[in-house]
Amino acid sequence: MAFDIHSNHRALVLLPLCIYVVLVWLVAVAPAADMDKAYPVDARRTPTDLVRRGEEVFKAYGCVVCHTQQIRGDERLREQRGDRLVVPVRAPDARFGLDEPTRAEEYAQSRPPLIGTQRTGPDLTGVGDRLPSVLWHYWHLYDPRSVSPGSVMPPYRYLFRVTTEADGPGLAAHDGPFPTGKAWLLVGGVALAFAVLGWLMFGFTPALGLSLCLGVGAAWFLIRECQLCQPPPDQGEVVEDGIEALGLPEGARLVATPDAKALAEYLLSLKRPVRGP
Amino acid sequence: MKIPVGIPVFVAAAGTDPRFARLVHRWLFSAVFWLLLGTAAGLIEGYRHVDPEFLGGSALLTYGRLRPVHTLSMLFGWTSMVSIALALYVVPKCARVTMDEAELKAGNLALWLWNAGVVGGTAALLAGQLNASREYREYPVWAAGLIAAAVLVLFGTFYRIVARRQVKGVYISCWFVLAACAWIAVVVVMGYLPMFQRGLADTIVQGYYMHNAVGMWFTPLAVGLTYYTLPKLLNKPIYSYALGVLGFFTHLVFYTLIGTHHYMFTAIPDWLENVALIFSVAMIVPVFASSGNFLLTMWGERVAIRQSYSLPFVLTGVLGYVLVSAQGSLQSLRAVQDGWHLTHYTVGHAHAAMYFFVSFLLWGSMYGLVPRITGREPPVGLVGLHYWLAFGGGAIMVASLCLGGAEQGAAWVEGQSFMDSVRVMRPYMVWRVVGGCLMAAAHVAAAIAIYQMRPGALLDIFGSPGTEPAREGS
Repeated sequence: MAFDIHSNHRALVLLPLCIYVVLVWLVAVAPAADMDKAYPVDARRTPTDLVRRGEEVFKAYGCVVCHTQQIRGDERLREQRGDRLVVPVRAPDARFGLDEPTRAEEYAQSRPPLIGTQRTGPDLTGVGDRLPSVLWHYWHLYDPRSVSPGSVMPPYRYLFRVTTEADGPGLAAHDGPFPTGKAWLLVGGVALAFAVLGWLMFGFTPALGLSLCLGVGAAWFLIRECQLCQPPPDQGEVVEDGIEALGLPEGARLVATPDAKALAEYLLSLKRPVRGP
Repeated sequence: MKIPVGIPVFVAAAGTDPRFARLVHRWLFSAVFWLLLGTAAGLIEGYRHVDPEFLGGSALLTYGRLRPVHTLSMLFGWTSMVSIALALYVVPKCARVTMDEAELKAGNLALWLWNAGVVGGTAALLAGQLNASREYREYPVWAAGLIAAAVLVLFGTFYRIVARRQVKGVYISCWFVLAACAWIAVVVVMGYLPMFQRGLADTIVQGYYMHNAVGMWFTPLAVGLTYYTLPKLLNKPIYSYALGVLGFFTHLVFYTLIGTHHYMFTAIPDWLENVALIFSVAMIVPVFASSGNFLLTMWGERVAIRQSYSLPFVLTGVLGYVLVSAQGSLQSLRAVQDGWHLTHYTVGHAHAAMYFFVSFLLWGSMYGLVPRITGREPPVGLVGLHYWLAFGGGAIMVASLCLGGAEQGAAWVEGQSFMDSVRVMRPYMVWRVVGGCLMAAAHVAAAIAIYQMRPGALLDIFGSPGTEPAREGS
């Protein structure tokens, strides 16, 4: 058959696919490989274990959905300042107090860079320089509006435990959300929803069994993950200062879980690196 | 209660294999399930911009986790599955064959794989496995793998149907459907490659991935299905077949190159940003080729559009395609990016694209085609309610996000404090919830309509399963 895409279905599939693969190579694979080669892994700049754990917490709560880590600049507007060429920061990003846009080598050690595409909250580049207090981050994570009135950040109370004096640190006066009756209700609801869906779609057949398995599997997964968040009792850090504004019950203490500690440590580690040679 | 082509739907549906009707309806049913779930997640997220303490006690329902649940339910749940449901009807129709035993089995297998992927992916998201919030590829690799396997099964099915077609030519709808399945397979592989996960290499792949996942999957599917639905409902040929071919190839070349426009002014190489910018503007060509083609086909058909309950959706979708693409081209310009990028304006654009373009076209095709498969029409009043709630709610949401985003961006450029730029958004965020509630109501109406269109007794009266469909045309 002639190579006529109107009547030859093999040609019709192959031609657009080949064009597509070539173009993908040009705009994704090749530049990404160049980037990898240009900015290799630098063992001297490996973060500490705590910072790395904090980064995982940051990722697990999807913080990058609202917080960018990119200071933007237009390379074509480079200007001589003193003895070096400087790219000026774009007007919307100037508020974060940094005099230079983020450079490619600053991202080179991140897997992946948490560069973000939306700035519902402020940019976090250099937040460790702007807000160097670990206590501030604890207050802010527990109750964002206590230190930042008007903020729309959700509270991250499940990174903390509230204890009474008598309990000692770590024994919870009221536990985190899991596993409570409500949670079991939710999980049961999920399983039931899948079962009903399977029944409606496929009738009362082995399909129902598979749907139930999916629901129960999801439930097991959720519960297991949530128990992982509950720290062993002796690993919390008692937050003592400045907790009056957080609306805790009388005589209660705030205990930061290891996750909260790691997250705060990660935020503090977001300092602007010294410019390389 | 007739669709304007002039054949009552129960006649059009006569002779349809009931197993085929059930297969299509299962895909539809799954799609609308994910639509409702995604809407619920979206509503919670929207309301949190008004009251950030809402459901704040649950780590499962963290803002950063529910957001990908919302986006991916809409993308991989609702939009993908309704497109496939309709493609399963359109491709055999264009090939003038009916799906045989093996193809029906493959369709069911793909349905299972796909649903398992979305269920598993959603559970993983709620449990905090977010793939570092890489946008639109938050699902873990195994969940994405299930979906990719389903895509391959579907590609094989569609290819087999086209290969044994009873006509010489391959109609352009099949071009778009086959190409979309092939392209999205490449996109998913690129998105989950183990290399390029570090440094800006990941960001370059991310820019490519998130735009191609939309543009090389939803756009070709929605446009391709409309190339079948529109001539069918109007009972006349498409205005220009050549324009369709032009649209297909320019879309392929231009759309592939524009992903980096999400990362203007960053440390990504300038040449890549410039390529993205130039071809973002060039996207006017495929957009005008396809949408102009549709509009010229609809030219002079005002009566038919007024009498139909599906054509208004198609008309809105086509106009939405023009407007949202023009908006997208404009947004890629550096001068516009300066003020509007990273604000809620982008969210407004995303909703406009997936709602007023993709979803409306798919609803149009759904109401136009599904009654021909199942022999049952939805109540016209319900469809009208769906249309107006979706149109009004969507318009309120898009307008509030775009206007608010523009004001937010202006506050940033003027150098007001960041908290001022947050406070400025508050009334717009309230309006967004209002729009979201109307959209949710529209989706409930759509779900009821889909239930009303379920395959039923009519089939047994007007056609016995397995017989050759006794009619010409199509």
